[in-house]
Amino acid sequence: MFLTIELDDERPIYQQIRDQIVVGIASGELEEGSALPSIRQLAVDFGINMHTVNRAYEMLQRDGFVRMRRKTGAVVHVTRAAALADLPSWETRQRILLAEALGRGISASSILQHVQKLLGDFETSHYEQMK
Amino acid sequence: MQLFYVIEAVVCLTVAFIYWLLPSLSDKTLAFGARIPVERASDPSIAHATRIYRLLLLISVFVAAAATWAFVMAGASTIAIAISPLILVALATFGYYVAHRLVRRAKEQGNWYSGLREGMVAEVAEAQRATFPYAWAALPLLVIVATAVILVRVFPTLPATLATHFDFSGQANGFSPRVPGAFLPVISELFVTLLIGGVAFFIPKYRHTLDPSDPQGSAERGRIFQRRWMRALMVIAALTNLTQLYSGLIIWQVIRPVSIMISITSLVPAFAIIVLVVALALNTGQAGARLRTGQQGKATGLVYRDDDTYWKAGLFYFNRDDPSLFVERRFGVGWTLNMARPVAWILLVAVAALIIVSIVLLPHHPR
Repeated sequence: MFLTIELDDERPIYQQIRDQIVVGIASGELEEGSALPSIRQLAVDFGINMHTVNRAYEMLQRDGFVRMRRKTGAVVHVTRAAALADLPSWETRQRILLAEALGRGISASSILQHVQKLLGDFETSHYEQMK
Repeated sequence: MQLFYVIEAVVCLTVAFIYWLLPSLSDKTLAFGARIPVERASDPSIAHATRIYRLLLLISVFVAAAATWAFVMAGASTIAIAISPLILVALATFGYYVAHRLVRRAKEQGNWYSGLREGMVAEVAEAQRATFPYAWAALPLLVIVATAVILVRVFPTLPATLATHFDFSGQANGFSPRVPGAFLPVISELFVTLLIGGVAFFIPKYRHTLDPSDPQGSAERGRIFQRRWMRALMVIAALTNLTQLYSGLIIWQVIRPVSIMISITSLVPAFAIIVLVVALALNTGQAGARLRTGQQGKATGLVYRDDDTYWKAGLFYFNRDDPSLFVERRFGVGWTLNMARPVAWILLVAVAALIIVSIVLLPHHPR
């Protein structure tokens, strides 16, 4: 799996890294128990500051996707959530995303359709990984 | 003395030939150490810079030849041996710098990176990394063992003073006591093997910059490049050790030095190393640029980051935000140090000190 950093993106680098790893875990590309590169090695591979990678990994741990271990480094370890309310600020962010679309006149059914498609993509990706 | 001129000419021409080839060893997105969009590789300004570079290279050859002649005429032929390749390298590097600045100017004036999205790509799967070829490490080690074994057998028969340095006609002109003189070859072999082995061992950890327009292909080409060079370094260490073994045989009086034979035979491994390096460089290019393998994977829509600012004069890498110690060179094949890391300076000083110490403290004394 490849991680990409886009320098012109408005999101900071640590956010881009964190987001891609989250997507990687959800799509099955990164399996439970698999090791992420060490902070140093990922920073070396990108040519960026170790603090940036460290920040991304800490966010991932805080958000329940990764466990940092002293010896083995960061390992994919998902803390399962019981309800959406357990995900920090997920509902708030979701509300804003919906508002952006609804506010610009996109119909609720279009939005739902799109969401269905995205969920379907994740499921397909899972099946691909299992093959 | 004729032989001296021949060897000198061959060395300088080989160096010039390598420098002539260097521009074609790099990735298409690099022109004389400046990062360019791949579409611009055929831009007339690049061809122009290449012509200037090659012209300056030709002039360098003549200047180096003239300098050698002048030194020899002035009676300083021993200096001339070392000086002419150095002059050649210095002038060729200057030519490279001129070409580098030409490309940078064309890039800035033409705004080549406007509208392009720059980025970096890294691989997550650690298991994919190239691994150190322990089996090949046996090659230099075998030579060390052979050298040690011969030394052990020969040592009791050695006189108190050994001839350890010879001139071109096979006459001894430097001597050492049996200890440490007899051990010099083994010590040199160990030192060189550790140095080369150390560099080779960490090669998989050095950053291979992935091409955002083909991460999978460039990752694979990078792995092949690393694998081939780790193996080549093991062979080079073995060949260097063979040179030391040969000089050991002479020092230990197992074989008698016969004038020209010393010079030629000791040069055979060196020649083999040069041939190996040039052949492999042409085969792989820098970081796998000349390899055609590697499937074209998904493009990210991004291009290589334009980080010319970190490459001083297109030669020296200086980036505080990059924890890497070794990075791929921008010109030529291999790796170079990130001078922003203090360890880089320590390494340079250490290697320089070791070389100076080994030359100055070399226990030779003329009879």
